[in-house]
Amino acid sequence: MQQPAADAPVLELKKLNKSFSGVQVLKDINLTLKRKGSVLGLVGENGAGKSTMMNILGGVLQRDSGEILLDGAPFNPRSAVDADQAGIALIHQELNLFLNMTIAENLYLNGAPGTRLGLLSYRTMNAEARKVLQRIGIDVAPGTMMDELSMGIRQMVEIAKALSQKARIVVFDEPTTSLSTKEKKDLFSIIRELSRSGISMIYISHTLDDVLSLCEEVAVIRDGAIMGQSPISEMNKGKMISMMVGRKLDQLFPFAEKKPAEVRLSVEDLCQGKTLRHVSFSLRSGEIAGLFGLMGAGRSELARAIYGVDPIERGKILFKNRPVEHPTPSWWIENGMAYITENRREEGLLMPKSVKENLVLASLQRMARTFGAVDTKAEEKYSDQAIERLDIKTYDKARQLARMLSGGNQQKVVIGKWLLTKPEVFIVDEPTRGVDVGAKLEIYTHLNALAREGSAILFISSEMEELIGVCDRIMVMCSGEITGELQREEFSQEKLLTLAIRSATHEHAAAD
Amino acid sequence: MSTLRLTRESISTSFYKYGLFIVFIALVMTFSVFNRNFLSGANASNLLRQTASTGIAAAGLVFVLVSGGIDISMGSTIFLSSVIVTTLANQGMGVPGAFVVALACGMLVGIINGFFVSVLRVVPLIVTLATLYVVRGVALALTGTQSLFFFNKVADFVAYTSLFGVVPVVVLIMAITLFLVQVVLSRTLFGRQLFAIGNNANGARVMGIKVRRNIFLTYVISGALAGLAGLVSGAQVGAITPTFAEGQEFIIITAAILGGVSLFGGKGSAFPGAFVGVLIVMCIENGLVMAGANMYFYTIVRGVVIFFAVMIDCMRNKGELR
Repeated sequence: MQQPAADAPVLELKKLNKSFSGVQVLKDINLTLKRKGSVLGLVGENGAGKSTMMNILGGVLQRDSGEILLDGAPFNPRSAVDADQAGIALIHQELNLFLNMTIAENLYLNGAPGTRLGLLSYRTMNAEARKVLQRIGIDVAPGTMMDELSMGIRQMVEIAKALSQKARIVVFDEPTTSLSTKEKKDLFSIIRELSRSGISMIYISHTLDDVLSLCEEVAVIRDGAIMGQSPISEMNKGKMISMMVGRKLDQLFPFAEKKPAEVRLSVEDLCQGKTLRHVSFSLRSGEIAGLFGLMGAGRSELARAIYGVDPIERGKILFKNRPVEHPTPSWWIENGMAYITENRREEGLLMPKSVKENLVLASLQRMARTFGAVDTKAEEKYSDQAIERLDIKTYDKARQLARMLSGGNQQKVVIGKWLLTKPEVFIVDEPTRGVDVGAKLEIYTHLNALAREGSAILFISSEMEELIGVCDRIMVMCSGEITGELQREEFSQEKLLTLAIRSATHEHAAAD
Repeated sequence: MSTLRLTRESISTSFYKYGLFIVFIALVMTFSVFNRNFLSGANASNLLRQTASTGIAAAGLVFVLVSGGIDISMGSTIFLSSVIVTTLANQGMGVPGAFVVALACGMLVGIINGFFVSVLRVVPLIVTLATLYVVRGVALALTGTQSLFFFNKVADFVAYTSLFGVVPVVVLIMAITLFLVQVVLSRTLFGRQLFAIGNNANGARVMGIKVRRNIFLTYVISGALAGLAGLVSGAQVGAITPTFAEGQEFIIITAAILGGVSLFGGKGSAFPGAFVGVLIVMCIENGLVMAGANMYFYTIVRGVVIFFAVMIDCMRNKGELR
């Protein structure tokens, strides 16, 4: 490899253009990664073109026009292998790992050290893999199967893969969406470590605080064009947001005055092993109640138990004051409760079906006329409404398949699907995870509107800011128990955290 | 609670891991209760010779299944290969020629399957369903729907010779095939990449693995080994009737799945996996013969075995997808 020119930037994108079937997704993109070891943040709304740009850099897609310069020399990757060899590694949001194989096998799928006469040497592979894993401080045997590892460790393996390919530039696409707080901390310290050892990085994220604390420079992309690139010292959250959405957001979290009325759903003394312990609460029509807790506190488990996905050992569930003996998802849907799971991409979308079909799926019952024929006009009307209200970016709702949408738009489709049913009780689990600022605002606004129309909403989230901004009251869970409830006037991050950690430390002390 | 769940999980995983061997041993024990001769050395050797053709074909199928495809044309490929080899051998072709011809005509079918699946991207089930019929039709045209008789020096060498008087040639062919296939699957980059493709084809493509080329090769290999299986079973049976090896593909597929090769891709081995699967299937058939079971009963048992093999495979994968 040639010696880099002393003053040439590590990576430079110049006037990059790309269109898909006539729609221009990237317009004259300019981006610079100035020096070895620098970390460039890249922020922008869903569908702004971040992933397309990265895929071009990684050789997965080909550009229409423009230049890529690596250390000042032109670089034209024709395939992912070209990019690998040039030292560019992409860490996709959906990790590119094969769960049926070991860590070492995953690291060396495109060529393994110690291979002789075409035969792999597991001994050398494992030894090399162990070295790379140690370099990022992971103490897992390289022969471990991927499916036995947590999401956090999987992410680390993906980084190890980049290192084993001698990557000089690593691109992270939303690396923290499925990580716990601790895993996230580990990831950040590794990123800082890599930066010190001279590896340059591009860090794509919706979590602006992370970008502010990790990166030296930030570039903002909107509708396929770079709105600006500047040092972190000249940036702040508000500035980034207004650049991303192209207008000033006067309010990030819209709170609406509502009139909570009768109790719609109540739960008494719900128990399920160690995951749920004597949980009781009630949910009123016209309110948004938050449910906060740290990873593993039992929030999603509570929702799943109520919804009948997981069995209950003890306890009562009352819907409109009538006991529900054996809750099942289909019973709830028929009776007006909707539940958006945290894995909505996997559980909530028919990927090979059109946007429209996905949107109307949950409300087909209501659109049925005599003899069960579906009212196609109503279908049109409802799906148009949802697309407009949620600002879903689709070029043809009847022809574009759900899997062709960008990640954020897929999530909007799932949410839109349930919004259309106007549920009486609505349980949303992390509805804004991985969604950009603009879409978040839209989701909050819709939850508010639903609540004002009389829905009872349980809003599960691990982001304190949004719960504080949107909810009427917040319940806090910790190790399967509800440890407290705060009213709007008493909201504060400290109080929430104290409740969320309290019994954990308590239990910890008891265990010692 | 968590420790309890752990043990329950480990029990079920170890059942999935070793269950195959447990089933096999249970079968052997059951049949030997019905017939003392079942456990005799003669019957064991007989059983191994019976597994040869299916074992070779199943080893080839493992490539296709691991990468997430399916090949149901194998029975017809076996038929075509045995027809061509028999005809040429009856005209004086020697032993080395027979092997080359068998592999080549299987490969030809494999190339056709591979072309449609990987280049034109037609669903593998449909492509190989089509070749299942077309290939059998071609072979029938070649024979004029007459039976062929395979009694000559090639058949003698393949089916009735034992090396050093102990190792039958057919068993040796199967052993070499299984060994080579397993080495390619587990010790070469090509083999490992197939597992990656079977697990997540799109991810493999993004990583720069040549997905289409590799998938093409899996069909060529499975075709070639079906061709080899045609030579072996043709020589063993001696008479190539118009229905020769009809339905054989399902026995091969059942055996492979029973041996832990997943229909969903990404999992399995030729040895011990598919081989033990073949042993189990053959054991059942052999045991039924020795127990003097009614002919109709075979078909029912085959159906039940297919069902259970696929059911276990589905259960295993469900646990993982969650």
